[in-house]
Amino acid sequence: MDILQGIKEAVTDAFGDDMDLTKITPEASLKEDLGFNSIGMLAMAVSLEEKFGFAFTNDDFTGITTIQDVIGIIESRQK
Amino acid sequence: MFGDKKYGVNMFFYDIAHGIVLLGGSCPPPVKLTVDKKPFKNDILDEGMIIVGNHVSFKDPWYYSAVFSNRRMFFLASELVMKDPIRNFLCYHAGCIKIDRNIADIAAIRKATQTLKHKRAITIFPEGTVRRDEEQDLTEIKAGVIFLASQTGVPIIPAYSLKPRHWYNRRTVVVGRPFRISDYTDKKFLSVPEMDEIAKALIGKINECKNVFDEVTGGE
Repeated sequence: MDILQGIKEAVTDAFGDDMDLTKITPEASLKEDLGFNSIGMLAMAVSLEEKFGFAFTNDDFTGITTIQDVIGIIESRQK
Repeated sequence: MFGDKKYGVNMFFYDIAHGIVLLGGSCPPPVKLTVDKKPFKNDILDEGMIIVGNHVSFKDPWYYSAVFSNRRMFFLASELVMKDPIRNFLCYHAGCIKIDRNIADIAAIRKATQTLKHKRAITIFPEGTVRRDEEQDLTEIKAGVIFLASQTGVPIIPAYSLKPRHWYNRRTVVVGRPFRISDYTDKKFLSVPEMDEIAKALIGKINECKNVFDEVTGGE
């Protein structure tokens, strides 16, 4: 599965259909641009775990600020 | 050496700490009522459950342990409660699961999920802090409790209590009926707006307990 597409689907799972998916670009900031809070991050993480078949750790969430950071985590787990 | 280690907690030390907590919550023993104003018999469920209540005192965990005295009780506690090493040691062995509210603390959620799947009870104070304006109705709670219940399928038990006027007065705790996410949606995976919506329904159930509490105790 294309990683960015998977993230878009996970964001829709987490935030519902009201989320504007055109905002989800690699450069988009999770908090400022997309309005993520901690529960939203958890909901997205659970959806991503199911789609990509790996488990996040707390370290993964330390210092991630953009969609590109999320892509980076998924890519590193797929290697 | 000193008993099983389950859910990351040494159960030998846990049982000692839990006994102390139970003793603290039982002196004097709380008055336990259902929303039907009948005595609460503490036999409602034989499965994992999340107890949610208002938070007016740091002794609340003691009283909730005393009300559900037949269950090994765990608690979700913020990183602030467990910030120094001594408190961290004591809370950890008393069954506190530390959750860092500043991040998406997936490790704490996993530990809580495992605990619930082993049919344990977890108490959560979803307002996120001790409230000083305790006479007010609950108006907002963190949706994390709904997230945890939806992930595990366990019921939520709403409850309400206030500090008694004097330390020697018995504390009244009103326990509501089990609240199941499946009564509101068939979906296992909930979006944040859906969780917020169900959280509002849960607030209503806690406030039902508050109304009974006010009626029975006169609000004290």
